[in-house]
Amino acid sequence: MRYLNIASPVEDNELIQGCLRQDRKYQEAVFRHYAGKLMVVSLRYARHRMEAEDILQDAFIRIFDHFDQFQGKGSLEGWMRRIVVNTALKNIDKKSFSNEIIGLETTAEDASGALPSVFSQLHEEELLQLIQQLPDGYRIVFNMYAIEGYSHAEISALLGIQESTSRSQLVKARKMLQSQILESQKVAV
Amino acid sequence: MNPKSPLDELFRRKLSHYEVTPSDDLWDNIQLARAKKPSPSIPFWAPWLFTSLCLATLIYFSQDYLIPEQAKSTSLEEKPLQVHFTPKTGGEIPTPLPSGKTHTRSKKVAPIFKNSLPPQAAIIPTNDDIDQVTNTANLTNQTEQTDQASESTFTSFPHIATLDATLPHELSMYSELLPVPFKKKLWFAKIDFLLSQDFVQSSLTAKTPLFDTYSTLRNNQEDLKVSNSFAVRMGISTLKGWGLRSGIQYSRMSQTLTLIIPDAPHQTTSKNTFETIDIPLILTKEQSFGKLRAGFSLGTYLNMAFNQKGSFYSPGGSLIEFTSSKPGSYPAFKNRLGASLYSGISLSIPIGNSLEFIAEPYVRSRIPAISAEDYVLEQKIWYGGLFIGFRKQIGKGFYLP
Repeated sequence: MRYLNIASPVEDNELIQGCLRQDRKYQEAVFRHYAGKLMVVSLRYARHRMEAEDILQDAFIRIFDHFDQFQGKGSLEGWMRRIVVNTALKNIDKKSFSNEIIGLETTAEDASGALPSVFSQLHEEELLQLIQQLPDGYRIVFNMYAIEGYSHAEISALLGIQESTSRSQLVKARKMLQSQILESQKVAV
Repeated sequence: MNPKSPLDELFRRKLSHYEVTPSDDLWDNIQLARAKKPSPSIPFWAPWLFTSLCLATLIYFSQDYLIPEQAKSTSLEEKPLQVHFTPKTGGEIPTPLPSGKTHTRSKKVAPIFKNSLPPQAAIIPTNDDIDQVTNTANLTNQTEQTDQASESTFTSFPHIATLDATLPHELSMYSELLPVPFKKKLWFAKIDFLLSQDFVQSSLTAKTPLFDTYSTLRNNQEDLKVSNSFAVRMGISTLKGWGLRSGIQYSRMSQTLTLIIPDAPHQTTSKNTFETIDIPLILTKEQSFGKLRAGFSLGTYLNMAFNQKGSFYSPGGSLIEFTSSKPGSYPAFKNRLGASLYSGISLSIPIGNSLEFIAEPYVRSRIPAISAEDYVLEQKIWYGGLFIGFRKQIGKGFYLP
Protein backbone atom coordinates (compact mmCIF):
# COMPACT_ATOMS: atom_id res chain seq x y z
CA MET A 1 0.00 0.00 0.00
CA ARG A 2 1.25 3.45 -0.84
CA TYR A 3 1.15 5.96 2.00
CA LEU A 4 0.73 9.67 1.51
CA ASN A 5 3.95 11.55 1.91
CA ILE A 6 4.15 14.77 3.86
CA ALA A 7 6.88 17.07 2.81
CA SER A 8 5.50 20.59 2.81
CA PRO A 9 2.99 22.78 4.68
CA VAL A 10 0.73 22.60 1.63
CA GLU A 11 0.63 18.84 1.85
CA ASP A 12 0.18 19.19 5.62
CA ASN A 13 -2.96 21.25 4.98
CA GLU A 14 -4.24 18.62 2.59
CA LEU A 15 -3.64 16.05 5.30
CA ILE A 16 -5.60 18.09 7.84
CA GLN A 17 -8.51 18.42 5.45
CA GLY A 18 -8.43 14.66 4.85
CA CYS A 19 -8.46 13.93 8.58
CA LEU A 20 -11.32 16.35 9.09
CA ARG A 21 -13.28 14.27 6.58
CA GLN A 22 -12.34 11.18 8.64
CA ASP A 23 -10.64 9.77 5.54
CA ARG A 24 -8.74 6.70 6.72
CA LYS A 25 -6.02 7.12 4.07
CA TYR A 26 -5.09 10.55 5.42
CA GLN A 27 -5.35 9.36 9.02
CA GLU A 28 -2.88 6.61 8.28
CA ALA A 29 -0.56 9.13 6.62
CA VAL A 30 -0.65 11.27 9.77
CA PHE A 31 0.06 8.22 11.88
CA ARG A 32 3.00 7.09 9.73
CA HIS A 33 4.49 10.56 9.66
CA TYR A 34 4.19 11.50 13.32
CA ALA A 35 4.12 8.18 15.20
CA GLY A 36 7.93 8.02 15.61
CA LYS A 37 8.22 11.47 17.19
CA LEU A 38 5.15 11.01 19.34
CA MET A 39 6.39 7.60 20.47
CA VAL A 40 9.41 9.35 22.00
CA VAL A 41 7.11 11.73 23.87
CA SER A 42 5.11 8.78 25.11
CA LEU A 43 8.27 6.84 26.08
CA ARG A 44 9.49 9.77 28.15
CA TYR A 45 6.34 9.67 30.29
CA ALA A 46 5.92 5.91 30.47
CA ARG A 47 7.86 3.43 32.57
CA HIS A 48 8.31 0.99 29.73
CA ARG A 49 7.63 0.50 26.05
CA MET A 50 4.35 -1.38 26.50
CA GLU A 51 2.88 1.42 28.57
CA ALA A 52 4.16 3.95 26.04
CA GLU A 53 2.37 2.17 23.20
CA ASP A 54 -0.86 2.11 25.20
CA ILE A 55 -0.56 5.85 25.77
CA LEU A 56 0.19 6.45 22.10
CA GLN A 57 -2.74 4.33 20.99
CA ASP A 58 -5.16 6.19 23.26
CA ALA A 59 -3.69 9.50 22.13
CA PHE A 60 -4.14 8.72 18.43
CA ILE A 61 -7.73 7.64 19.05
CA ARG A 62 -8.38 10.98 20.74
CA ILE A 63 -6.57 12.83 17.96
CA PHE A 64 -8.70 11.29 15.21
CA ASP A 65 -11.93 11.47 17.20
CA HIS A 66 -11.44 15.17 17.97
CA PHE A 67 -9.61 16.34 14.91
CA ASP A 68 -12.17 19.10 14.41
CA GLN A 69 -10.81 20.74 17.57
CA PHE A 70 -7.50 21.47 15.87
CA GLN A 71 -7.83 25.16 15.11
CA GLY A 72 -4.69 25.50 13.01
CA LYS A 73 -3.23 28.19 15.29
CA GLY A 74 -0.05 26.25 15.94
CA SER A 75 1.55 23.31 14.20
CA LEU A 76 -0.26 20.02 13.86
CA GLU A 77 2.68 18.29 15.52
CA GLY A 78 2.53 20.62 18.54
CA TRP A 79 -1.19 19.98 18.96
CA MET A 80 -0.67 16.23 18.74
CA ARG A 81 2.21 16.34 21.24
CA ARG A 82 -0.03 18.09 23.75
CA ILE A 83 -2.63 15.36 23.35
CA VAL A 84 -0.01 12.67 23.93
CA VAL A 85 1.20 14.48 27.08
CA ASN A 86 -2.36 14.95 28.34
CA THR A 87 -3.14 11.29 27.71
CA ALA A 88 -0.04 10.27 29.64
CA LEU A 89 -0.94 12.57 32.52
CA LYS A 90 -4.47 11.19 32.71
CA ASN A 91 -3.34 8.03 34.41
CA ILE A 92 -0.92 9.64 36.81
CA ASP A 93 -1.42 8.82 40.44
CA LYS A 94 -1.02 11.88 42.66
CA LYS A 95 0.76 9.75 45.21
CA SER A 96 3.69 9.60 42.80
CA PHE A 97 4.60 13.10 43.88
CA SER A 98 4.88 12.28 47.55
CA ASN A 99 7.48 9.53 47.07
CA GLU A 100 10.84 10.64 48.37
CA ILE A 101 14.18 9.06 47.70
CA ILE A 102 16.56 9.31 50.61
CA GLY A 103 19.87 10.94 49.80
CA LEU A 104 18.55 13.26 47.10
CA GLU A 105 17.81 16.24 49.34
CA THR A 106 19.46 19.09 47.54
CA THR A 107 19.16 22.72 46.52
CA ALA A 108 18.06 24.13 43.21
CA GLU A 109 21.58 25.21 42.31
CA ASP A 110 23.08 21.75 42.54
CA ALA A 111 22.34 20.77 38.99
CA SER A 112 22.76 24.13 37.35
CA GLY A 113 26.52 24.09 36.82
CA ALA A 114 28.45 23.09 33.68
CA LEU A 115 28.16 19.47 32.72
CA PRO A 116 31.07 17.10 32.41
CA SER A 117 31.92 16.32 28.78
CA VAL A 118 30.76 12.72 29.14
CA PHE A 119 27.19 13.97 29.26
CA SER A 120 27.18 15.19 25.67
CA GLN A 121 28.51 11.84 24.48
CA LEU A 122 25.36 10.06 25.58
CA HIS A 123 23.11 8.69 22.88
CA GLU A 124 19.42 9.51 22.63
CA GLU A 125 18.43 5.99 23.57
CA GLU A 126 20.51 6.14 26.74
CA LEU A 127 18.96 9.48 27.71
CA LEU A 128 15.52 8.01 27.19
CA GLN A 129 16.34 5.04 29.40
CA LEU A 130 17.65 7.36 32.10
CA ILE A 131 14.36 9.28 32.11
CA GLN A 132 12.34 6.09 32.25
CA GLN A 133 14.27 4.94 35.31
CA LEU A 134 13.24 8.01 37.28
CA PRO A 135 10.43 7.60 39.83
CA ASP A 136 7.02 8.62 38.42
CA GLY A 137 6.83 12.06 40.03
CA TYR A 138 10.39 13.04 39.11
CA ARG A 139 9.99 11.80 35.56
CA ILE A 140 6.77 13.67 34.91
CA VAL A 141 7.89 16.99 36.34
CA PHE A 142 11.28 16.77 34.57
CA ASN A 143 9.58 16.05 31.25
CA MET A 144 7.05 18.82 31.63
CA TYR A 145 9.49 21.46 32.81
CA ALA A 146 12.77 20.63 31.12
CA ILE A 147 11.56 19.29 27.78
CA GLU A 148 7.98 20.48 27.21
CA GLY A 149 8.69 23.91 28.69
CA TYR A 150 5.82 24.17 31.17
CA SER A 151 6.29 26.53 34.13
CA HIS A 152 5.96 25.31 37.72
CA ALA A 153 2.65 27.18 37.98
CA GLU A 154 1.32 25.34 34.93
CA ILE A 155 2.59 21.99 36.20
CA SER A 156 0.98 22.68 39.54
CA ALA A 157 -2.36 23.40 37.86
CA LEU A 158 -2.20 20.47 35.46
CA LEU A 159 -1.20 17.89 38.05
CA GLY A 160 -3.04 19.31 41.04
CA ILE A 161 0.11 19.57 43.15
CA GLN A 162 1.81 22.44 44.97
CA GLU A 163 4.30 24.56 43.03
CA SER A 164 6.85 23.83 45.73
CA THR A 165 6.34 20.11 45.13
CA SER A 166 6.97 20.62 41.42
CA ARG A 167 10.20 22.54 42.12
CA SER A 168 11.40 19.97 44.59
CA GLN A 169 10.65 17.06 42.24
CA LEU A 170 12.53 18.80 39.41
CA VAL A 171 15.62 19.39 41.51
CA LYS A 172 15.64 15.81 42.69
CA ALA A 173 15.10 14.52 39.17
CA ARG A 174 18.10 16.48 37.88
CA LYS A 175 20.24 15.30 40.77
CA MET A 176 19.24 11.69 40.20
CA LEU A 177 19.92 11.91 36.46
CA GLN A 178 23.38 13.35 37.09
CA SER A 179 24.18 10.63 39.60
CA GLN A 180 23.01 7.92 37.22
CA ILE A 181 25.05 9.28 34.33
CA LEU A 182 28.19 9.55 36.43
CA GLU A 183 27.59 6.09 37.85
CA SER A 184 27.16 4.58 34.38
CA GLN A 185 30.39 6.22 33.19
CA LYS A 186 32.27 4.76 36.17
CA VAL A 187 30.97 1.32 35.30
CA ALA A 188 31.93 1.81 31.65
CA VAL A 189 35.47 2.82 32.64
CA MET B 1 10.86 31.24 29.62
CA ASN B 2 11.96 28.69 32.17
CA PRO B 3 15.51 29.05 33.46
CA LYS B 4 17.14 25.98 31.98
CA SER B 5 20.00 24.03 33.35
CA PRO B 6 22.59 22.56 30.96
CA LEU B 7 21.19 19.18 31.83
CA ASP B 8 17.70 20.22 30.70
CA GLU B 9 19.13 21.62 27.48
CA LEU B 10 21.00 18.42 26.80
CA PHE B 11 17.89 16.28 27.12
CA ARG B 12 15.76 18.71 25.16
CA ARG B 13 18.26 19.05 22.30
CA LYS B 14 18.97 15.38 21.92
CA LEU B 15 15.42 14.12 22.26
CA SER B 16 13.54 16.79 20.30
CA HIS B 17 14.27 15.20 16.93
CA TYR B 18 14.71 11.65 18.05
CA GLU B 19 12.23 9.08 16.72
CA VAL B 20 11.34 5.56 17.83
CA THR B 21 9.21 3.42 15.58
CA PRO B 22 6.25 1.93 17.41
CA SER B 23 5.34 -1.72 16.92
CA ASP B 24 3.87 -2.75 13.58
CA ASP B 25 0.44 -3.60 14.89
CA LEU B 26 -0.20 -0.27 16.61
CA TRP B 27 -2.00 1.23 13.61
CA ASP B 28 -4.20 -1.87 13.34
CA ASN B 29 -5.00 -1.65 17.05
CA ILE B 30 -5.97 2.00 16.70
CA GLN B 31 -8.30 1.19 13.82
CA LEU B 32 -9.84 -1.71 15.73
CA ALA B 33 -10.35 0.36 18.86
CA ARG B 34 -11.95 3.18 16.86
CA ALA B 35 -14.21 0.74 15.06
CA LYS B 36 -15.36 -0.78 18.36
CA LYS B 37 -15.89 2.57 20.00
CA PRO B 38 -19.59 3.31 20.39
CA SER B 39 -21.07 6.40 18.84
CA PRO B 40 -21.22 9.48 21.07
CA SER B 41 -22.88 8.30 24.22
CA ILE B 42 -26.35 9.47 25.15
CA PRO B 43 -26.46 11.26 28.52
CA PHE B 44 -27.32 8.76 31.25
CA TRP B 45 -30.45 10.65 32.22
CA ALA B 46 -31.82 10.91 28.68
CA PRO B 47 -33.50 7.45 28.58
CA TRP B 48 -34.94 8.10 32.05
CA LEU B 49 -36.34 11.46 30.98
CA PHE B 50 -37.63 10.11 27.67
CA THR B 51 -39.35 7.11 29.24
CA SER B 52 -40.79 9.26 32.02
CA LEU B 53 -42.29 11.68 29.51
CA CYS B 54 -43.70 8.79 27.49
CA LEU B 55 -45.23 7.22 30.58
CA ALA B 56 -46.70 10.49 31.78
CA THR B 57 -48.16 11.20 28.32
CA LEU B 58 -49.53 7.68 28.04
CA ILE B 59 -51.18 7.71 31.42
CA TYR B 60 -52.67 11.15 30.78
CA PHE B 61 -54.22 10.33 27.44
CA SER B 62 -55.13 6.78 28.35
CA GLN B 63 -57.93 8.15 30.52
CA ASP B 64 -59.99 9.04 27.46
CA TYR B 65 -59.61 5.62 25.92
CA LEU B 66 -60.50 3.84 29.11
CA ILE B 67 -63.94 5.41 29.41
CA PRO B 68 -66.64 3.08 28.15
CA GLU B 69 -68.74 4.24 25.25
CA GLN B 70 -71.82 4.24 27.42
CA ALA B 71 -70.34 6.71 29.80
CA LYS B 72 -68.82 8.78 27.04
CA SER B 73 -72.18 9.53 25.53
CA THR B 74 -73.53 10.79 28.81
CA SER B 75 -74.12 14.51 28.83
CA LEU B 76 -76.61 17.01 30.05
CA GLU B 77 -78.28 17.42 26.69
CA GLU B 78 -78.56 13.73 25.90
CA LYS B 79 -79.27 11.21 28.60
CA PRO B 80 -77.84 12.36 31.85
CA LEU B 81 -77.07 9.69 34.31
CA GLN B 82 -79.24 9.74 37.34
CA VAL B 83 -78.55 7.67 40.35
CA HIS B 84 -81.02 7.22 43.12
CA PHE B 85 -79.80 6.86 46.58
CA THR B 86 -81.60 6.50 49.83
CA PRO B 87 -79.72 8.44 52.43
CA LYS B 88 -79.69 6.84 55.78
CA THR B 89 -80.91 8.93 58.65
CA GLY B 90 -80.84 7.93 62.24
CA GLY B 91 -81.24 4.21 62.68
CA GLU B 92 -83.27 3.86 59.52
CA ILE B 93 -82.45 0.89 57.37
CA PRO B 94 -82.50 1.68 53.64
CA THR B 95 -84.95 -0.29 51.57
CA PRO B 96 -84.86 -1.09 47.88
CA LEU B 97 -86.92 1.19 45.71
CA PRO B 98 -89.58 -0.10 43.41
CA SER B 99 -88.28 -0.25 39.87
CA GLY B 100 -88.78 2.89 37.86
CA LYS B 101 -89.50 5.13 40.81
CA THR B 102 -87.51 7.66 42.63
CA HIS B 103 -87.38 7.67 46.39
CA THR B 104 -89.50 10.41 47.75
CA ARG B 105 -86.78 11.67 50.03
CA SER B 106 -84.25 11.91 47.26
CA LYS B 107 -82.49 15.24 47.38
CA LYS B 108 -81.89 17.14 44.16
CA VAL B 109 -78.51 18.55 43.41
CA ALA B 110 -78.78 20.98 40.56
CA PRO B 111 -77.47 21.64 38.10
CA ILE B 112 -76.04 18.28 37.15
CA PHE B 113 -72.36 18.44 36.30
CA LYS B 114 -71.91 19.15 32.66
CA ASN B 115 -68.22 18.67 32.31
CA SER B 116 -66.79 18.51 35.73
CA LEU B 117 -67.59 18.82 39.34
CA PRO B 118 -65.44 20.93 41.63
CA PRO B 119 -62.91 18.89 43.54
CA GLN B 120 -64.55 19.88 46.81
CA ALA B 121 -67.56 17.84 45.71
CA ALA B 122 -65.56 14.71 46.32
CA ILE B 123 -66.74 13.60 49.67
CA ILE B 124 -65.43 10.51 51.28
CA PRO B 125 -68.15 7.89 51.59
CA THR B 126 -69.10 6.44 54.92
CA ASN B 127 -69.44 2.72 55.45
CA ASP B 128 -73.22 3.18 55.45
CA ASP B 129 -73.06 4.74 52.02
CA ILE B 130 -71.15 1.78 50.74
CA ASP B 131 -73.67 -0.64 52.20
CA GLN B 132 -76.38 1.14 50.40
CA VAL B 133 -74.64 1.30 47.09
CA THR B 134 -73.90 -2.39 47.28
CA ASN B 135 -77.60 -2.91 46.97
CA THR B 136 -78.03 -2.76 43.22
CA ALA B 137 -81.70 -1.99 43.58
CA ASN B 138 -80.70 1.52 44.59
CA LEU B 139 -79.07 2.15 41.28
CA THR B 140 -81.15 2.85 38.22
CA ASN B 141 -80.49 4.52 34.95
CA GLN B 142 -82.17 7.66 33.81
CA THR B 143 -82.94 6.07 30.46
CA GLU B 144 -85.44 3.76 32.14
CA GLN B 145 -87.27 6.61 33.76
CA THR B 146 -89.08 8.48 31.06
CA ASP B 147 -91.09 10.49 33.53
CA GLN B 148 -87.95 12.22 34.74
CA ALA B 149 -86.02 12.42 31.51
CA SER B 150 -86.44 16.14 31.22
CA GLU B 151 -85.14 16.77 34.69
CA SER B 152 -81.44 17.43 34.74
CA THR B 153 -80.90 16.42 38.24
CA PHE B 154 -78.57 14.27 40.17
CA THR B 155 -80.59 12.56 42.82
CA SER B 156 -78.96 12.72 46.15
CA PHE B 157 -75.89 10.55 46.24
CA PRO B 158 -73.27 12.90 47.55
CA HIS B 159 -70.66 10.27 48.19
CA ILE B 160 -70.70 8.22 45.04
CA ALA B 161 -67.71 10.00 43.56
CA THR B 162 -65.29 8.13 45.71
CA LEU B 163 -67.20 4.91 45.79
CA ASP B 164 -64.55 2.75 44.21
CA ALA B 165 -61.92 3.90 46.64
CA THR B 166 -63.17 1.68 49.36
CA LEU B 167 -65.17 -0.97 47.60
CA PRO B 168 -63.93 -4.43 46.87
CA HIS B 169 -62.68 -4.75 43.33
CA GLU B 170 -65.70 -6.76 42.23
CA LEU B 171 -67.84 -3.72 42.84
CA SER B 172 -65.82 -1.46 40.64
CA MET B 173 -68.32 -2.33 37.90
CA TYR B 174 -70.58 0.30 39.38
CA SER B 175 -68.00 2.89 38.64
CA GLU B 176 -69.16 2.53 35.03
CA LEU B 177 -72.17 4.51 36.15
CA LEU B 178 -70.08 7.43 37.27
CA PRO B 179 -70.15 10.51 35.10
CA VAL B 180 -67.21 11.00 32.75
CA PRO B 181 -65.62 13.94 34.50
CA PHE B 182 -65.48 11.98 37.73
CA LYS B 183 -63.86 9.00 36.06
CA LYS B 184 -61.21 11.20 34.55
CA LYS B 185 -59.96 12.60 37.78
CA LEU B 186 -60.41 10.03 40.48
CA TRP B 187 -57.14 8.62 41.80
CA PHE B 188 -56.06 6.41 44.64
CA ALA B 189 -52.80 6.71 46.52
CA LYS B 190 -50.98 3.58 47.59
CA ILE B 191 -47.68 2.83 49.25
CA ASP B 192 -45.61 -0.31 48.69
CA PHE B 193 -43.03 -1.79 51.05
CA LEU B 194 -40.97 -4.33 49.16
CA LEU B 195 -38.03 -6.63 49.70
CA SER B 196 -36.36 -8.55 46.94
CA GLN B 197 -33.78 -11.18 46.31
CA ASP B 198 -32.09 -10.55 42.98
CA PHE B 199 -29.64 -12.34 40.78
CA VAL B 200 -27.23 -10.16 38.89
CA GLN B 201 -25.51 -11.10 35.68
CA SER B 202 -22.65 -8.95 34.46
CA SER B 203 -20.66 -8.84 31.26
CA LEU B 204 -17.19 -7.40 30.83
CA THR B 205 -16.08 -6.07 27.46
CA ALA B 206 -12.61 -4.82 26.63
CA LYS B 207 -12.53 -1.26 25.35
CA THR B 208 -9.46 -2.06 23.25
CA PRO B 209 -8.38 -5.39 21.76
CA LEU B 210 -5.33 -5.29 24.04
CA PHE B 211 -7.55 -6.28 26.94
CA ASP B 212 -9.61 -8.97 25.21
CA THR B 213 -7.76 -11.75 27.02
CA TYR B 214 -8.19 -9.96 30.33
CA SER B 215 -11.93 -9.52 29.81
CA THR B 216 -12.27 -13.21 28.91
CA LEU B 217 -10.42 -14.18 32.10
CA ARG B 218 -12.64 -11.98 34.22
CA ASN B 219 -15.84 -13.16 32.52
CA ASN B 220 -14.87 -16.78 33.17
CA GLN B 221 -13.88 -16.07 36.74
CA GLU B 222 -16.86 -14.01 37.89
CA ASP B 223 -20.08 -15.91 38.44
CA LEU B 224 -23.59 -14.81 39.12
CA LYS B 225 -23.87 -12.22 41.84
CA VAL B 226 -26.62 -11.99 44.43
CA SER B 227 -28.29 -8.79 45.45
CA ASN B 228 -30.80 -7.76 48.12
CA SER B 229 -33.03 -4.76 47.71
CA PHE B 230 -35.43 -2.77 49.83
CA ALA B 231 -37.87 -0.41 48.19
CA VAL B 232 -40.56 2.01 49.24
CA ARG B 233 -42.79 3.09 46.38
CA MET B 234 -45.59 5.60 46.41
CA GLY B 235 -48.11 5.32 43.66
CA ILE B 236 -51.29 6.74 42.30
CA SER B 237 -53.69 4.68 40.24
CA THR B 238 -56.96 5.09 38.42
CA LEU B 239 -60.23 3.22 38.63
CA LYS B 240 -59.17 1.16 35.66
CA GLY B 241 -55.94 0.03 37.23
CA TRP B 242 -53.50 2.34 35.44
CA GLY B 243 -50.93 3.66 37.83
CA LEU B 244 -47.69 5.53 38.18
CA ARG B 245 -45.24 4.67 40.95
CA SER B 246 -42.06 6.24 42.22
CA GLY B 247 -40.00 6.09 45.38
CA ILE B 248 -36.60 4.97 46.49
CA GLN B 249 -34.78 1.66 46.42
CA TYR B 250 -31.55 0.54 48.02
CA SER B 251 -29.69 -2.50 46.67
CA ARG B 252 -26.56 -4.24 47.85
CA MET B 253 -24.98 -6.66 45.43
CA SER B 254 -22.46 -9.16 46.78
CA GLN B 255 -20.11 -11.53 45.07
CA THR B 256 -17.63 -14.07 46.32
CA LEU B 257 -14.64 -14.47 44.04
CA THR B 258 -12.16 -17.30 44.27
CA LEU B 259 -8.91 -16.02 42.86
CA ILE B 260 -6.07 -18.30 41.94
CA ILE B 261 -2.96 -16.20 42.15
CA PRO B 262 0.01 -17.55 40.21
CA ASP B 263 2.82 -18.71 42.50
CA ALA B 264 0.60 -18.33 45.57
CA PRO B 265 0.37 -21.36 47.90
CA HIS B 266 -3.42 -21.29 48.09
CA GLN B 267 -6.50 -19.73 46.60
CA THR B 268 -7.67 -16.34 47.74
CA THR B 269 -11.30 -15.53 48.33
CA SER B 270 -12.54 -12.01 47.95
CA LYS B 271 -15.97 -10.83 49.05
CA ASN B 272 -16.93 -7.95 46.82
CA THR B 273 -19.90 -5.65 47.35
CA PHE B 274 -21.53 -2.99 45.21
CA GLU B 275 -24.28 -0.65 46.37
CA THR B 276 -26.87 1.34 44.45
CA ILE B 277 -29.64 3.76 45.28
CA ASP B 278 -32.42 3.97 42.72
CA ILE B 279 -35.35 6.25 42.04
CA PRO B 280 -37.88 4.23 40.07
CA LEU B 281 -40.56 5.65 37.82
CA ILE B 282 -42.93 2.87 36.83
CA LEU B 283 -46.13 2.68 34.82
CA THR B 284 -48.47 -0.10 35.92
CA LYS B 285 -51.68 -1.60 34.59
CA GLU B 286 -53.59 -4.05 36.70
CA GLN B 287 -56.69 -6.11 36.17
CA SER B 288 -58.82 -8.07 38.62
CA PHE B 289 -59.27 -11.81 38.25
CA GLY B 290 -61.55 -12.66 41.13
CA LYS B 291 -59.64 -11.73 44.26
CA LEU B 292 -56.32 -11.76 42.46
CA ARG B 293 -55.08 -8.66 40.72
CA ALA B 294 -52.45 -9.07 38.04
CA GLY B 295 -50.74 -6.61 35.80
CA PHE B 296 -47.53 -5.40 34.28
CA SER B 297 -45.03 -2.78 35.34
CA LEU B 298 -42.75 -0.94 32.95
CA GLY B 299 -40.45 1.90 33.73
CA THR B 300 -37.07 3.39 34.32
CA TYR B 301 -34.76 3.66 37.29
CA LEU B 302 -32.47 6.62 37.84
CA ASN B 303 -29.65 5.28 39.94
CA MET B 304 -26.40 5.99 41.68
CA ALA B 305 -23.80 3.23 41.96
CA PHE B 306 -21.49 3.79 44.93
CA ASN B 307 -19.34 2.23 47.61
CA GLN B 308 -17.81 -0.60 45.57
CA LYS B 309 -15.57 -2.76 47.75
CA GLY B 310 -13.36 -5.74 47.02
CA SER B 311 -10.58 -7.16 44.89
CA PHE B 312 -10.02 -8.81 41.55
CA TYR B 313 -7.27 -9.62 39.10
CA SER B 314 -5.53 -6.65 37.53
CA PRO B 315 -4.65 -6.73 33.82
CA GLY B 316 -1.14 -7.59 35.01
CA GLY B 317 -2.40 -10.74 36.72
CA SER B 318 -2.01 -9.66 40.33
CA LEU B 319 -4.64 -9.33 43.02
CA ILE B 320 -5.66 -5.70 43.42
CA GLU B 321 -8.15 -3.87 45.58
CA PHE B 322 -10.67 -1.66 43.81
CA THR B 323 -12.51 -0.24 46.86
CA SER B 324 -13.81 3.06 45.52
CA SER B 325 -13.70 4.91 48.84
CA LYS B 326 -10.09 3.99 49.51
CA PRO B 327 -7.50 6.47 48.20
CA GLY B 328 -5.01 4.83 45.88
CA SER B 329 -7.22 1.85 45.06
CA TYR B 330 -7.39 0.54 41.52
CA PRO B 331 -9.72 2.99 39.71
CA ALA B 332 -12.10 0.46 38.18
CA PHE B 333 -15.21 1.96 39.79
CA LYS B 334 -16.44 5.40 40.71
CA ASN B 335 -19.70 6.75 42.04
CA ARG B 336 -21.70 6.82 38.83
CA LEU B 337 -25.16 8.00 37.93
CA GLY B 338 -27.07 5.89 35.49
CA ALA B 339 -30.44 4.70 34.33
CA SER B 340 -32.05 1.27 34.09
CA LEU B 341 -34.99 -0.12 32.20
CA TYR B 342 -37.43 -2.09 34.35
CA SER B 343 -40.19 -4.56 33.54
CA GLY B 344 -42.16 -6.74 35.90
CA ILE B 345 -45.35 -8.68 36.40
CA SER B 346 -47.28 -7.61 39.47
CA LEU B 347 -49.56 -9.99 41.37
CA SER B 348 -51.52 -8.91 44.42
CA ILE B 349 -54.19 -10.29 46.68
CA PRO B 350 -56.16 -8.45 49.37
CA ILE B 351 -55.30 -9.57 52.89
CA GLY B 352 -56.98 -6.96 55.01
CA ASN B 353 -58.55 -3.57 55.12
CA SER B 354 -56.94 -1.66 52.23
CA LEU B 355 -53.94 -3.96 52.46
CA GLU B 356 -52.63 -6.25 49.74
CA PHE B 357 -49.85 -8.78 49.53
CA ILE B 358 -47.71 -8.24 46.43
CA ALA B 359 -45.32 -10.43 44.49
CA GLU B 360 -43.55 -8.90 41.52
CA PRO B 361 -41.04 -10.88 39.47
CA TYR B 362 -38.95 -8.49 37.41
CA VAL B 363 -35.93 -7.93 35.18
CA ARG B 364 -33.87 -4.76 35.05
CA SER B 365 -31.01 -3.70 32.82
CA ARG B 366 -28.65 -0.84 33.64
CA ILE B 367 -27.94 1.19 30.51
CA PRO B 368 -24.52 2.73 31.25
CA ALA B 369 -21.72 0.55 32.59
CA ILE B 370 -21.10 0.45 36.34
CA SER B 371 -17.35 0.55 35.78
CA ALA B 372 -15.45 3.84 35.60
CA GLU B 373 -15.37 5.58 32.23
CA ASP B 374 -11.59 5.38 31.92
CA TYR B 375 -11.31 1.77 33.07
CA VAL B 376 -10.03 -0.65 30.43
CA LEU B 377 -13.14 -2.83 30.65
CA GLU B 378 -16.79 -1.95 30.40
CA GLN B 379 -18.91 -3.80 32.96
CA LYS B 380 -22.65 -3.94 32.33
CA ILE B 381 -25.21 -5.60 34.58
CA TRP B 382 -28.71 -7.09 34.43
CA TYR B 383 -30.88 -7.84 37.42
CA GLY B 384 -33.60 -10.43 37.75
CA GLY B 385 -35.52 -11.06 40.94
CA LEU B 386 -38.72 -11.21 42.91
CA PHE B 387 -40.13 -8.37 44.93
CA ILE B 388 -42.45 -9.37 47.73
CA GLY B 389 -44.18 -7.06 50.15
CA PHE B 390 -47.28 -5.18 51.05
CA ARG B 391 -49.36 -2.46 49.42
CA LYS B 392 -51.42 -0.19 51.57
CA GLN B 393 -54.01 2.21 50.24
CA ILE B 394 -53.65 5.62 51.82
CA GLY B 395 -57.02 7.14 52.69
CA LYS B 396 -59.75 7.25 50.06
CA GLY B 397 -59.85 8.34 46.48
CA PHE B 398 -58.98 11.90 45.58
CA TYR B 399 -59.05 14.33 42.70
CA LEU B 400 -56.05 15.96 41.20
CA PRO B 401 -56.36 19.74 41.02
